[in-house]
Amino acid sequence: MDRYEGFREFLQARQQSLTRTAYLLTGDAHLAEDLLQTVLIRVASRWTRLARDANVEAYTRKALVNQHLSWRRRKHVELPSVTMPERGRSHDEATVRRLALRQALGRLTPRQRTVLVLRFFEDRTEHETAQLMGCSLGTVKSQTHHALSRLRTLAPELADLLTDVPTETHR
Amino acid sequence: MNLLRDELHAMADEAPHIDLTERAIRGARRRRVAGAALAVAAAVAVMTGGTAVLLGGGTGTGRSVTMAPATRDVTALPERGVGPLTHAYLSRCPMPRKPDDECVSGQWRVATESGTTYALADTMGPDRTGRALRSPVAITKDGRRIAYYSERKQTFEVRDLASGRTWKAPLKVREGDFDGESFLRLSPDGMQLIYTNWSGMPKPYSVLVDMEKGRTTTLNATWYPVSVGDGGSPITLVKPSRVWIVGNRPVAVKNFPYEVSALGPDGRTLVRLGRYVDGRPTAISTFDALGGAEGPALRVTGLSDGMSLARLGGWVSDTEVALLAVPDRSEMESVLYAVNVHTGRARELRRFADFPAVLPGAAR
Repeated sequence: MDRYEGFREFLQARQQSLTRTAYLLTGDAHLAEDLLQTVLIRVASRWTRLARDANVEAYTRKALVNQHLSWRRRKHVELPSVTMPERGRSHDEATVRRLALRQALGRLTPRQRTVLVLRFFEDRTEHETAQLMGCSLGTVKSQTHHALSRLRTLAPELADLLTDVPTETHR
Repeated sequence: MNLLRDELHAMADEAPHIDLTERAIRGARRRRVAGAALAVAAAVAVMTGGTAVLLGGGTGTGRSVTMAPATRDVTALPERGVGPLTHAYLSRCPMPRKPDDECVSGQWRVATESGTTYALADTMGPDRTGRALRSPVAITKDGRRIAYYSERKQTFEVRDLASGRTWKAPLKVREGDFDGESFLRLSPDGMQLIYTNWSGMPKPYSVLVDMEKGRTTTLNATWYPVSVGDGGSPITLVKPSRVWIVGNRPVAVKNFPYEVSALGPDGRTLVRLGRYVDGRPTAISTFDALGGAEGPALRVTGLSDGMSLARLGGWVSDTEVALLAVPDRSEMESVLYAVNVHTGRARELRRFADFPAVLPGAAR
């Protein structure tokens, strides 16, 4: 049997979900692809052991977050100054707002951006987010608070997007 | 209700559809092989000037294996004697990355029709010091002139690639100005340049620069620049639901996308993408930028399987406009087509091994 058969099955089911997270973390299609490829090579390399001993998806998502933060710490990865071509955009008011959000996200720190993606895109609890990011619960709370405050400062026009999120960050 | 959660999910819908399975497996196999080879090398290799010669190599034939550096050097764009360009793209480092890898992704490269690749060495991009900002680049429709930000001169410069003659813009542009969205447009002869900056400066800024005469004209910075003609006219600008050929009245349009073609040879026709299926455009339609009338949506035919419409560019003839299609699978190549604006029929012009971030004469 091919040692990677289970890996193929895993990706068949979860790859697009992982790609979506990678895309939100990086904000760029090429960087998302690079990030995910780096992580998947690592996962494939350890597949036999992971499939036997670990929650593969949890491992992969944690690796994705760590790799992203690690790249940004080393600052070897560029931030695109111009958004890459996107498919299917219609530039009505909603799209303009999305562009504003995209720009504002691009100006957050890597940790701030990551915490928003995990909390509000993946719907992770603060505890899960802390585990994935390898930090304390308090850090998740403060990073979330700072990220939302900064979003409000950078893009006041996005205030209506944040109406459902502020209270939980002040606990 | 438009909540952050909804917007993030909508953004995630724009994530590329890629299949990295086989690439990841190949990478893992290479790791296994490299790991085994290094174990052998530790015992029997002779290291000479960065080249590891494996004795025996496991085959018993005595052949040697050379481990080449992972990064590939690209020559800087020569000052003159360069042929027409096909596109500009952003460098990508080989994968997987190694801890000591000094390769930097995201630097500008240009490719010529003859297939030579050069680095835009003087222009600003990410570097090994950690700088992440990148300046914009534009190429004339014929590929013979290029506009770029000269880091040394702190302004934009247009270069005639064959003769090497350069024209410097009478502007001072700071590096920090590129901390956000900025756009560069070049007229067909390369002597008129529009620079628009939406977020790196205290307030949006847009300027038309006559490179030959060294004159600048401020433009309305709330509009997105599409194209500029020789002599500085016509200037085509768009914003959501409106299009404006400067000197005429802005025209209202429904859901006008930023991904439009350059202004047509008749001075009034624009082409836009439309008829979205699963969030992807499948058709084109023409639009009269002076009168407001829009033609019917024409399904684009003639594309290779697995290709999606991505963006429109300059006009190839009186009836054809350039159309870039991108693959659904990352191992395939992006393809440039000429699409007939009256029939929607596409014919292939060129394939790109690297994603063409900038095409000659295109509004990107």
